[in-house]
Amino acid sequence: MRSGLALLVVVLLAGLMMAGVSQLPPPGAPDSAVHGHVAATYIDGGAEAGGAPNLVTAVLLNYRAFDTYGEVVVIFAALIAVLAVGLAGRPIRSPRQAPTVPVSPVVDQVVRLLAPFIALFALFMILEGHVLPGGGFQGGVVLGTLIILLGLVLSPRRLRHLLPHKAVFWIRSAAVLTFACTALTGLALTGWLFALPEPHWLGESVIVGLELAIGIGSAFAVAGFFLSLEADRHR
Amino acid sequence: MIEWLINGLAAVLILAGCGFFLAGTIGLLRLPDFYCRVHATTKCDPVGAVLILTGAGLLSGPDLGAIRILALIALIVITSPTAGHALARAGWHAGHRPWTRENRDEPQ
Repeated sequence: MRSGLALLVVVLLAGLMMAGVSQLPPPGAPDSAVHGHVAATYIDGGAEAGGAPNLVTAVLLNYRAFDTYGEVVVIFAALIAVLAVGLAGRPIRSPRQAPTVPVSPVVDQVVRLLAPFIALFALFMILEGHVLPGGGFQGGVVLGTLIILLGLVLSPRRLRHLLPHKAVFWIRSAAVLTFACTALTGLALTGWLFALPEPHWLGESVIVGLELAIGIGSAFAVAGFFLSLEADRHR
Repeated sequence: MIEWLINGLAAVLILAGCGFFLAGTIGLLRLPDFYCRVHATTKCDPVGAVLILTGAGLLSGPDLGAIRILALIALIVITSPTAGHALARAGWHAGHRPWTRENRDEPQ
């Protein structure tokens, strides 16, 4: 009965999708709506109106800011779910029980040597993302990897000193909060959600701020799961 | 004449680098245990990559691209052996026993 119902739903949904797909223009057709006015408008005025010289960034953070906001929320929700599931019901062990192997001096030195370069590159990717390929998500992953590397090399106590629990709590939600603030600022200043305020330099700094927030948010999404494992092992 | 010489040298370097990569890949697939495979991949890859990058640097000539290639070479020379060291050390501390002719039939 239930599987019959499921089959019916699947067939209905598939039929709807097929009906929709059959109405699509053939791929690459020059007279389809995508290749008509929308793309041409973006290419003509996107760099000025979108607040970022890189058209991809302009589309990502301005023309489809709602979509990107959704992505940021999904990543944030995934991190929260992983943390909630991963930490639930684990027995609390004392820190001395698990025998820990000392960090190899080679790895320690190499990570210390490379850390500033990795941090610089991550920041470069995040901040230059509105001009060059790159951007918040990519740079954030590099930054998150750096945090994981430092977490492997530094002692958990020192890492916790560098990243206090309260700060991590707020930094994790930085991307979502900044996006919400941008949306509301746009609403207050121009009457449209996510609209960039005038003049142009103000709009561009909003874009850079968004990139920075996305970068920090994704860095801590990547590092968060690892840090939670680490905290679990050493608590 | 000089250009011909540089192109030939670059071709030799790049081909030699490909040979190292091939050896490393065969080692990864064919060697008997974890330690040998780590050895094969993390030793051959930096040599192969450095040879190929040096060849590419010769082809690009003395410009900004060559400086980038030098930075890349430094990065690979530092990181790849470190990764091999960290992997082998982690395997050793996790209690993974190296393969020998005597214990070849024991399960890993």
